[in-house]
Amino acid sequence: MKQLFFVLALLIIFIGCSTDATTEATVGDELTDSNIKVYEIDTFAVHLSTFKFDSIITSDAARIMVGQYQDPIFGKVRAASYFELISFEEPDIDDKSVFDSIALVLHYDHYFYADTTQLTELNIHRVLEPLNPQSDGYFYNTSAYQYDPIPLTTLSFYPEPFDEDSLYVPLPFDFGETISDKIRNGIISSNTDLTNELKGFYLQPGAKDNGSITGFSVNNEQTYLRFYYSLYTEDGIEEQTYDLAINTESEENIFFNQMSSDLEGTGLENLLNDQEEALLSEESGNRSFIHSGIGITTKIEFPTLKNIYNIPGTGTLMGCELRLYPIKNSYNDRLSIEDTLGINVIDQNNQVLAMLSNDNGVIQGLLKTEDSEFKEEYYSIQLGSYLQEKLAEDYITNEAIILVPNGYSYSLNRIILGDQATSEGLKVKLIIHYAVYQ
Amino acid sequence: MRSISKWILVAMSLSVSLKGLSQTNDLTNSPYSRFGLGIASNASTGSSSGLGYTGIGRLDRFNINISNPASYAALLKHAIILDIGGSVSKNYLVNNYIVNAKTSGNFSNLSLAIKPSARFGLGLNLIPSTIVGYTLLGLEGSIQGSTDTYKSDVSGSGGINKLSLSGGYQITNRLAIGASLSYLFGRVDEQETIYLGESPVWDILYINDINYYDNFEMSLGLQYQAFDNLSFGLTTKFPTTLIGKQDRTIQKRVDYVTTTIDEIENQDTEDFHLPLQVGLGISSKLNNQFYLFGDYETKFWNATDQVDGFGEYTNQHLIKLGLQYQPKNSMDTYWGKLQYNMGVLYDTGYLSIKNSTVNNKGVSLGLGLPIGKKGGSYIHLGYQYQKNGSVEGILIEENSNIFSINISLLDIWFMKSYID
Repeated sequence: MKQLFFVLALLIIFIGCSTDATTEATVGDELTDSNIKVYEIDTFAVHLSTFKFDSIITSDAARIMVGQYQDPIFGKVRAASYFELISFEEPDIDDKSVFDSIALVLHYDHYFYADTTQLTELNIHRVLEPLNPQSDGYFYNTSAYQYDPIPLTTLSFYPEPFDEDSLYVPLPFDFGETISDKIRNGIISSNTDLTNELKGFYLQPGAKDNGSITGFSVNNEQTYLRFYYSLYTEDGIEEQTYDLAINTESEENIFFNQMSSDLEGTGLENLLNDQEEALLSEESGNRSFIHSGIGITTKIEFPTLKNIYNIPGTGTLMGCELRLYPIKNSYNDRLSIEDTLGINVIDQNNQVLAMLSNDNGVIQGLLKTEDSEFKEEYYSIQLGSYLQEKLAEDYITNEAIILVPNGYSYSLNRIILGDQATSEGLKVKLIIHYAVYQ
Repeated sequence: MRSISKWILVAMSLSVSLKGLSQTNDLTNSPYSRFGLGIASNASTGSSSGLGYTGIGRLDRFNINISNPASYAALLKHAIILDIGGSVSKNYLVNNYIVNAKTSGNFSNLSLAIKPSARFGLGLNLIPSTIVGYTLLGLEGSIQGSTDTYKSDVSGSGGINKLSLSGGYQITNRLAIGASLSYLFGRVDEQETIYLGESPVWDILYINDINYYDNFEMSLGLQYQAFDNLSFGLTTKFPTTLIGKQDRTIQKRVDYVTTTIDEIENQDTEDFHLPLQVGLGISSKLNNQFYLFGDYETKFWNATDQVDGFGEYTNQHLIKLGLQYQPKNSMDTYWGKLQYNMGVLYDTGYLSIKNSTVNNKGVSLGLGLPIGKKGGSYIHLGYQYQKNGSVEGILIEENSNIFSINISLLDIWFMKSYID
């Protein structure tokens, strides 16, 4: 009997302590299938159209832009810049030093667009009215202020945005001495006085220029108006300087870029006059356009999206990718395309409502290269969450999305996209994944 | 306090430890358990597991025999019997390339029987009926409209339990009939996760289903003792439909944003049809020491007309044989009451995948150890080796080693002095 107890006890312990020594079973995965059906569909309609903003805000720009070139599609593209100069430090000039010269030092910020091998003209004008922003506190690409039509100086140069550090522009001696004396005499003793005296500079390209757009830094340690002084001492001549720089200190930064394109002779001149009217891609050679700085943008709509409900069963939208192909010959190293696109949501009047985002953050389009042998470049945008909301809309809102490349308000790059009927390259497409679970 | 009571204590502690186990372990890792409501459980009472699970024709005086409700009429008069069982299983899954192993233990049955009179026996039995336990990772699914594929992970656990109330009645000296009313109940949890796109930016769809099933089931049986050394049994189980209800949760993660798409409780889901079953059994006493048992059963799955994405239902046939050796059928010595059992089983299976039926073969050995002074109580130890499926085409083979123990405690509680 005792042995029996012992055996029994062992058995009970054995059963109670048996471990679940299981490995993840991978045997048997060919036996069965998923209960879920996944569809990939790329035949939904994608409608592209183009419109131009009446004006875009160009305050808070990251750079000064000046230049002009003739674009085959957009006509004469031009950038000019207004800025106010203020003092960032107390003048520390010896009483005995003598005013030598004055120059505007513009630091290249490596931005350029179009052909920098062409001779470029830079004109510096004195601004005649205070540079006050519009009533909403912003400056626009179409804003304009009175300036002295006779430039303080004109400089012809070849832009060297990479090889050189800065562009050195000498200004008239009299102009410099007048201001310098007033500062040293105390007549100008504050920035308010200063800006009353010198309301600002207006930089513009030559009227006949057809070269490139150059970008300059607005950093007060890199770009400045420099007064040069010489101090004659027993030891020799000591050079002293005093700088004024672009006003990036006040609440409203007092500088902005004026950017435009005349669209003359391009076929687009009468078609982009009203922000509320978008030009369909079918009416512009199966193309749609984006031009930073000028304010031209591409609008995207998906009119047949609700057809997804024709798929039998109950399902849900999974990842959706929109692929947009820039037309191959429309860009190169000089006329480069931006590699990141921001996306805005607009209402039926083409007014911007908000940036497109989801719980995870802002949604962007990224430039990618295809795996195929042709290595086509395309913009990829993940629109899963946006389309989910569009499908869930109780009523049709006629909202749409537009593409706003990075640096839209402080660069002049353009992108030309092919639509769904283009013969100039790969066609725009929306790739939808849909999972049916019931 | 009867001497049997210490065995009752042992039995109780066993059932407690096993009950704890049964909450946490799946008794199987078989992918085949994805089909239908899982794979049939190996649970049984008494000496059945060592005898190839035969019993339709067996008249057992001391052990509960759940194969045929009429056998409750054969129990020792005025007996009360408690049978508790457990099993430990080590399963190997094999296909052409790899082997997965799993060890698990579970409670197998809790059974009670009483024989208030010479003719009438009654029993209550709780037993697992099916078990589900599988994890399959990296199933490949094709995307309609593309040459790309997606990956899917599926897993499932749970099973159906059976609570039976059975009764057997001895009509004449030779003929007994019985009936059994069972309540089948349980739940099967299934999860599926699909992955679209590419690592690490997967878009994920996750579905979690909790499926509840229940309904009643009815079976009838009879046993006829033709001669002293030969008896027959007949059973039939009527078809029934387990009503399915489902709680479903669906979530997705797209572009790193997780949303719950749906959360439904208690919606109707596909019912499960259990087929008509018919069984025939023989029990033959070869001589004073040897008994031979044979069962044949057919389950008519084709008539249920149901479909499953996994495979097809096909009629199932089972042949079971058992041989019992008891050296001395006397109460004199302990070793004389020992039972040595062996059995074989062949099951054609009810699942057909691409025209290959997943069949099941097994051999078993058992030992019946008498316990207690009064006699009639046993500890039944069983070992069964089972082979399920085969390594043929896409099929897999499962090899199982199952150790089972059933403690059957018999006592006489209905004494004449208690009856008015």
